[in-house]
Amino acid sequence: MEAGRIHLEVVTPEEAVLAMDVDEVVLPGEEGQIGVLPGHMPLLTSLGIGEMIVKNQGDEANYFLVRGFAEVLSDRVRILAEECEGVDNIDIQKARAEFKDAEREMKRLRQQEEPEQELLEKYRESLRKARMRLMLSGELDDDE
Amino acid sequence: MANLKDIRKRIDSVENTKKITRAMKMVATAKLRRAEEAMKSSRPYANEIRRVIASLADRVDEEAHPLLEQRELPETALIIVVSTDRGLCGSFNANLFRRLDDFIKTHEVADEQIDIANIGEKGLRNFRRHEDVEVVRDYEGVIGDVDYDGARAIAQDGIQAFLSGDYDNIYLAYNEFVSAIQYEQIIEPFLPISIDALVDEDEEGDQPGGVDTDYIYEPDELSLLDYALPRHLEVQVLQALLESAAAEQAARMTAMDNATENAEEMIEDLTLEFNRARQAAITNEIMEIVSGAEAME
Repeated sequence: MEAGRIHLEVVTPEEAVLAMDVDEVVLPGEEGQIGVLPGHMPLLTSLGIGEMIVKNQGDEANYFLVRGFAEVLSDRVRILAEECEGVDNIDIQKARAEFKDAEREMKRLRQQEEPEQELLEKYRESLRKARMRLMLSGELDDDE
Repeated sequence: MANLKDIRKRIDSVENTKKITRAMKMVATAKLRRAEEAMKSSRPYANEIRRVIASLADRVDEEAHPLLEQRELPETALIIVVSTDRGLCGSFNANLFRRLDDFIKTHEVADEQIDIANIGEKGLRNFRRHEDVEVVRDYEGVIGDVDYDGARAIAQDGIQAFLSGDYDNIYLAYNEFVSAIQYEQIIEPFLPISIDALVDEDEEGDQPGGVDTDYIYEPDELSLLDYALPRHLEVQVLQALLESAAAEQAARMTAMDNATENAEEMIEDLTLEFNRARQAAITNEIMEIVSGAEAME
């Protein structure tokens, strides 16, 4: 491996998404973005729902990523995510439909006397994912 | 001797069966390739999460997480069984059920109550009329379309059942894919999670980033473990489903290959019989003509 580069690997339960050498990667940490350059301290951190930015020789590629871990070593970043897809591959129609579904279901649940917390959390999570997908595709303003 | 028409009919019918079994073999072969692919794709995540957990567990108290708690004097157990929805796959299911019967009978604590969480129609049929166990859950439509979400739901139910105290031990039973001509019946512990078993399976322990690396943990070891353990279980179920799916196709391929061969043999035998019957009929006719001619003289 060349000096001063990071080998980045992303795997999900269903497939290996990425394996490539990059200059820099920005991860969606649960408590804010984490920028990783070569020579980083060993770090094991959880990831939230958000955007991963991969910087490579002046180019930037953006990915949508759902929860997981990042294991950072000085020359390597390994990411275990539940879902990961290139921002260009986001299915906007599907995300919109999920967004509406989740919103409607949550409204319905909130009207109940004792909404089932588990179900509520499930839709909340699905809303978070759909919103982030739309935001990254530029289909949604940040404050919507 | 059977008459010619009957034999002809049987040959035709066996020919038809052969066509079907050969087509099924080809379908199974194609499906096997896809199933194998899916199985391989899920391995890196599974290995990785095991490694992360091993590294985390090293730094926290073994008793620190409820999913790691080994209960003394376990009284109830749940077995999550993965069989198939469809038949025509040889003794694929029968072998698994036999292995489970042994397991249930010889289970260490004799009076431990054992329930079944079933995946696959064949399993449902088998366990419904089983005397020693009860099917408490059945998951339909999982096998035809294995994905992470489906596996996740099953694992989450298992986690709930363990944490609520309904079950002290949970096992996972399935056929593991070894090769296109071999599969193995597996019954493995699911909950509580044994860290020692994870470390054993960790093949990459020596390379940089192994168990010994001193990481900065964010937010902290226990929260990370709290996230990682359920993921590990979900992926364990996913892998069991994928292994079973690949093994099922392999078993069906072998079974249909044998059936095709048998059909060929049968056709050969029947053709021989047909020819004999035909010759016998001709001989008969000649004899009749000859004796007729003799009578005229």
